[in-house]
Amino acid sequence: MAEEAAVGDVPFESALARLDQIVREMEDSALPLQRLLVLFEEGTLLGKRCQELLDLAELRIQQVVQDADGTPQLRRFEVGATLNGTDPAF
Amino acid sequence: MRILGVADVTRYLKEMLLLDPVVGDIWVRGEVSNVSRPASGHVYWTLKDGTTQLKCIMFRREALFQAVQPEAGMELLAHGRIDVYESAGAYQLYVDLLERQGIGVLYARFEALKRQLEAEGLFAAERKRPLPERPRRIGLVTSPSGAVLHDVVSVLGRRWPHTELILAPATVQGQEAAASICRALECLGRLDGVGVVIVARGGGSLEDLWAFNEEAVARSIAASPVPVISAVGHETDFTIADFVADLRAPTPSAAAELVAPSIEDDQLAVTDLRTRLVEAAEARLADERQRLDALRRQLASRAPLAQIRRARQQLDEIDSALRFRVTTRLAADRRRLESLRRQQALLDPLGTLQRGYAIVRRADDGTLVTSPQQTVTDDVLEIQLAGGRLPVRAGLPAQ
Repeated sequence: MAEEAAVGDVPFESALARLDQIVREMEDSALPLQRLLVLFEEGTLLGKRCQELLDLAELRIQQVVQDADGTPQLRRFEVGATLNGTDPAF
Repeated sequence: MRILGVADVTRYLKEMLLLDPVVGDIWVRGEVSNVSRPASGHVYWTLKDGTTQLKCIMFRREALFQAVQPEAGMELLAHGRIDVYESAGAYQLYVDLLERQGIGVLYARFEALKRQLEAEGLFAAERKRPLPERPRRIGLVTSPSGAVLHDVVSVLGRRWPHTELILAPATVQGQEAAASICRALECLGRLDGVGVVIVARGGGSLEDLWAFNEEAVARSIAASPVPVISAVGHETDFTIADFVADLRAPTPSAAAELVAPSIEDDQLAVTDLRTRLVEAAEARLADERQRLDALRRQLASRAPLAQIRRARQQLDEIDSALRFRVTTRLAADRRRLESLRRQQALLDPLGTLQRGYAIVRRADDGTLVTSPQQTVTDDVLEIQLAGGRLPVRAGLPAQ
């Protein structure tokens, strides 16, 4: 379903904002029934996605280094690595 | 060319140094690093000056009396003599006196810079930018080892793990610290998606925190394209970085809390919206069902058959009512008739006569006689009895 693909990788903030919008629209009683049903489907998918993101949320940590021309590059960073006394990059 | 043994060479150098007017009695200035304090009570450290080093040793006897003890990163003045340590084949500074770089100097520099930057408007409240609500990336300038990183990771992990923490590791004390911090800030400034930067280091002395009082660092913070939170030193330490930053936090953990909305709030928001979504849909569907039912009922009630039935029912009702009223009325009338008859019977004079009563009239005009005074003796009267009339004459009055 096109909607599922669209919802699939939406970040949390966007999903939450869109869900908020949908709920407000649905609470407006002048909404045509057909539109209500379409919004309900989209809202349900978004709600599930938000909850999944909350359940799976894990802090991502990366380290930034500068390459030769000053462009920032990101690398995975293991907090445990600090015990080995990595030299600062800057 | 002479050939000497190692011991000879060493002794030669030792003597040379001992007799040298300069190194035999010398003050050396440098940055302290690699401090070692073994159980013997002697103190060993290295004084650094750029890329050159001088190993130092202070014996226990002298160390005990010093007002200042060497700490890593500290700028120190050490007095002593340079001598050869034979067994290691190295020269070192045998220290008998330690002095700090004048702290007064540092404070004066601090005040001067503070006034200057304040005059430039770098501390102005209008410059302070609000923190973003949900930064996709949070930059962190701090030492890669140590408690600060650990604390920030811990708070963010608990409170709001949605985000990405970007560490820009830097030296946070010593000569290289200011430049290191500046480069880290500039690099984060060029990275996409960073919503806010935390600049942090743990507690320490004025010298330890000195990098955060440097002009270069202050200007780098001011030039940051995103808001900067400073969390330097203990709660009571205020550095120039704190004044320039968009926000000051008393500790790195506090900075992390300020930057991250709470995941609990997010959970509440999600649960609330999902509930309202369903409720809105159900409410609306219930409304529509009601409307449908109402319309169905209306439709049903207008159907011809229903109308006929209704009319018939009305007819029946009227019929019954009518009958009921007629019957009731007849009954009532009958009773009334009976009642009147009985009354009449009671009042009927003939009935009374049957019971033995008599009616007395005057014979001449037929008027009723109800009292002896109405007659005189010998008046002709008529007594009506049940069985007929009896003519009489009024008798003698009682004597």
